[in-house]
Amino acid sequence: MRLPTERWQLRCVGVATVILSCALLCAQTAKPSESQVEAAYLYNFGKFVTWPSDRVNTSEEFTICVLGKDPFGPVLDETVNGEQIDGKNVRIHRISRVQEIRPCNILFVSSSEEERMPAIIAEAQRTHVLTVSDMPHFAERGGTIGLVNHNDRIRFEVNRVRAEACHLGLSSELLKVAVRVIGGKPAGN
Amino acid sequence: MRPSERVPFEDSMWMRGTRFPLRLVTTGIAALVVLLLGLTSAVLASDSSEQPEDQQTLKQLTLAQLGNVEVTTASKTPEQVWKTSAAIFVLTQDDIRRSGATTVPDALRLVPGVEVARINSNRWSIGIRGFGSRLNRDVLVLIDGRTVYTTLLAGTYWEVQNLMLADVERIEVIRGPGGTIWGPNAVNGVINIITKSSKDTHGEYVSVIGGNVDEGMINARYGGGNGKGLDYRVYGLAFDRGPEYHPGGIDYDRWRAVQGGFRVDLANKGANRFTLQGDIYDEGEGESVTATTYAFPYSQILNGTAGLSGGNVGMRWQRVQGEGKDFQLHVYYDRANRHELNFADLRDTFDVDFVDRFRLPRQQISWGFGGRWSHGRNPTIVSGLYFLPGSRTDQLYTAFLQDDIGIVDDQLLLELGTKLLKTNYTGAEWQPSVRLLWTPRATQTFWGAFTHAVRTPSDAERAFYLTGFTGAFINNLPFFARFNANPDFRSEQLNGYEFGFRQLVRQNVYIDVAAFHNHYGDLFSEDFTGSIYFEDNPGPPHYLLPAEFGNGLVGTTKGVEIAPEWKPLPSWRLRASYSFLQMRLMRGTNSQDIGTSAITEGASPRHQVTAQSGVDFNKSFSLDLTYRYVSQLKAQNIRAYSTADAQFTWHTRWPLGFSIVGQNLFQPYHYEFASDPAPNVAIKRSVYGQITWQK
Repeated sequence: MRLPTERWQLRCVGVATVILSCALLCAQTAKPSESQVEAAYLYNFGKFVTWPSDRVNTSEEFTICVLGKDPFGPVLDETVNGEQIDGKNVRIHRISRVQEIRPCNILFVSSSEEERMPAIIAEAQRTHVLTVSDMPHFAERGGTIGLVNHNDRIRFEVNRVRAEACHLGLSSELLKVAVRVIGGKPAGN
Repeated sequence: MRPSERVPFEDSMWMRGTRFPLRLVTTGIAALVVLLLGLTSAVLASDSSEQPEDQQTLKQLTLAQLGNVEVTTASKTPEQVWKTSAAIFVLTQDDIRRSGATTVPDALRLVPGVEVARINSNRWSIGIRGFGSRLNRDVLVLIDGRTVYTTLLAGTYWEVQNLMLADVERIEVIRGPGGTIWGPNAVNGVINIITKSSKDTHGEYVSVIGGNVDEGMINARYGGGNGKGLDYRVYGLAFDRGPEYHPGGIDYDRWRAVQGGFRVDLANKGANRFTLQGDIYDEGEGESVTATTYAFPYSQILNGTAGLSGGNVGMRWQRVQGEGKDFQLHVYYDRANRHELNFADLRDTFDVDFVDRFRLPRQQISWGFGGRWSHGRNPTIVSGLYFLPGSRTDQLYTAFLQDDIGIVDDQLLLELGTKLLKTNYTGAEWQPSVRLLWTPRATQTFWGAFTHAVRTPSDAERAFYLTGFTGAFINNLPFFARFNANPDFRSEQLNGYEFGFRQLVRQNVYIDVAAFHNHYGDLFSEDFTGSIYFEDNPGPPHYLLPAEFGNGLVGTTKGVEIAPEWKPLPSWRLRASYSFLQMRLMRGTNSQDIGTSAITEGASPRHQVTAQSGVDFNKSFSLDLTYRYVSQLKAQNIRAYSTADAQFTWHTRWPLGFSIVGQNLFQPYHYEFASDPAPNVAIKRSVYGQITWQK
C-alpha cells in the first residue's frame, strides 16, 4: 500500500497537469488596468507626433516625463524598456516641478497637478512639449491630448489648436482615431 | 480522481491529520513544490514568444486597437499600495470572489500576518501580528469609515459585521500600528472594509448558496441611477449556517441572520460628493456560555441563542478640489442590541469625523478631528456578571496632524504625524509616528517606520465585574473568584519598529516583505488583588477571592511576513505567503498576574503558510485553489493543521454563473481555536454550490 503522502503528491501532479494544460490551451488575457493602457498610449503617441527640428536634434534620448503623483508605478518603465522612438532610446523621467519639463518630449500631467494647469500649459507651449493627461476635460482646458474613459475603454481627445501653439505636428492617423478633435478634424475625415 | 480513492484517503491519517503536524507540513510543502515545479517546467517548455506578456502586447497595439481594450477600474489600488510606507495588503473584489469565502473573516485568511481561527460556526479569533482572541482588543475594524470596534469589551463582534461580499470593493489590511491616522486601538493593525460606490452596482444581482454547513444563503441587490450623478442601491441578505462538529454532541452554534441596507451616492457637477448609507440586521446566534450565580447552582453552562440586532445610518460629504486637496466630513449613528444568555448590551453610538488635506511646496498636510459618544446599557442577566454603573457613555475625542514631506522628489518621502486623543477613561495621549519611504526605482520600494500607539481602556477593565465559581466550598459556603472593575487601568502602550520592501523582480514576479519588532508596556494582565474574604452583598453569602484586570505585562513581538506573487501567464496567478511570529510576554515589576502571558502568547501561531493558484480558462471557467498551514496554539492544545479550499466557477453566456466551493478539504474536521467553555468545536469540511444571476 502506498503511503498517504505519496498518494497526495500524485494527486497534486495530476491537478497540476490539468491546470497547466488548460492554462496553456485556453489562456485568456485578463483585463488590463487603466494605467496599463494609458502607459501603452503614452509610448505610442511618440510615433504619431513630430517635434520641431531644433528639439529633435538637440537630444539623444526620447524623454517621457511624469509630472506629479505617479499613477503608473512600474508599468510605464516596463512599457518603454528597451524601446526606441525615432531611433532614440526612450527614457522615463519623473518630475515634480513645472520648471523641469524642458527636456521632456511627452509630459504626462498627473491629476494631482490640476491646480497648476495654467503654469504647465504656458511652460509646455514655450518648450514645445506634448502634454497628455487623464484628468477631466484636459484637452478643453489647454492640454494637447486628454485620455478619457468611455465605458471602460480608454480613448483620447486632441486639441489641435494647442498642438499648433506648441509647434507639434500631429499625424492624420492620430486625429482620425481621436474621439474628439478640438479645432476640427482635418478635411477628408 | 476516482471516487473510490476517497475512502482510504479519509480513513488515513489525514483524518486525524493534526496528530502528525510535522508530516503534514512536509507533505504540504512537497505537494506545493511538485505543483510549482510542474507548472514552471511546463511554462518554460512552452515557447514564450507565443505567449507575449501583457504589457508587451498592449504597447504593440495600434491607437485604434488600444481604444477598444476594456480596462478594469478596480485595480487602481496596486499602484497606491506600491508607495505605502506600511505593511499593507489589499484584498480586491476579485480576491474575495476567488477565495470562496462567505464571510469577511474567512476572506482574511489570505492576508499575510493575519491569524484567522474559527472558534465555531459563528465566532472567530482574529489577530494581527499576535494577540489572537475572540474580540481582538488591538485591531481596529472599519466598514466604510464606521468604526465597529466596541468599547464595551474592547474588540470586534465579527458575527454582526455581515456584508454582501459581492458589493465590497476592497478590504485593506494594515499590519502594524496605524494609530496616527486611524485612531486608538489600531495597535496591531487596521482592517478597513470599503464597499463599492453605488455608481458601480447598477443592475440586479442575486446569489443563492446551498451546502452542508452554509446551508442556505441568499444575497440580492438592485441598483440604478439617473445618469446625472445620482446613484443608489438596496440590498438584502439572509442565511442559515449549520453547526460545526461538536464532539460533545451538543450542536449549539447554529447561526441565522437577515439583513438589509441601502446606499445613495450623489456627485454633482462641482467637486462635492455625498454618500448616505445604512444597514439593519437581526440575528440569532447559537452559543454556549458559563452563567455564574451567587445562588445555587453557582455555575452552569447555558446553551441557547443570543439575539443580536441593530442598524446604522451614516452620511459622508467629500469635497475634492484636486489631488491632494480635499476634505471629508463623516457622521454616523449606530445602534447595537446584544442579548446574550449571560449579559446584555444595548448601545447607541454617534460619531463625527472631519479630515482635511492640502498641499504646500513639497509637502502634503493632513489634519482632522473627531468625536464619538457611545452610550451603553447593561441590564444584569446573571448575578455573577455585571457592569457598574449599569449605564455609561464612553467618549472619545481625537485630533491629528500629518505632514508628508518630499525630501528627494519622487524618491524619498518623510511622513511625520501624531494623533492626540482623550477618552472618558484617560487623559490626553499622543500617538506619534515617523515613516520613511524610499523608491530608488519605479520597481523598488523600501520603507521603515517608528510608531507609538495605545489601546485605550474599555468598560471591560473599568466597569466590569466578572465572577467565576471555583467549584470549592468554605464553611459550606460557595467560593468564588471575581475580576473587579479596576479604576486605575491605563492604556496599553506600544512602540513599534517596522521595515519593509517591495520589488517587481520581473514584470510578472512581485515580492513584498515586512519585518517588525514591537515593544509593549502596560499590557493587559489578570491580577490577584487580595486574599479570600467573606461577602454577603451581592448575596447570598459566599467567599470571594478578589482579582482585577491590570497593566502588569510587558513584552516584545518580532516577526516577518513574506508574500511573493507570480503571474506565469496573464490568466494565471500564483501567490504565497509565509508569516513568522515570536511573542515574548512577561510580568512587569510588582505584577500579581496569574499567568496571562503564557495564555496570550500561546493563542497565536508561530508559523503560517498560504499558497494560492487562480486560473481563468478562457472567459468562461476559473479554478482557484488555496492551501494553508497554521502551526500549533500552544496554550490551547490546538495542533498544527494544513488544509485547502477549492473553487470552480462557470460564467455562462447568459447572466448566470455557477460555482462549486470546497472548504477545509484535507480532513473531515479540524480544530482551530479553543472554546470557552469547553469542549472545543471542530471545523468541518464543507462544500457548497452557488448560483449567481447578474444583470
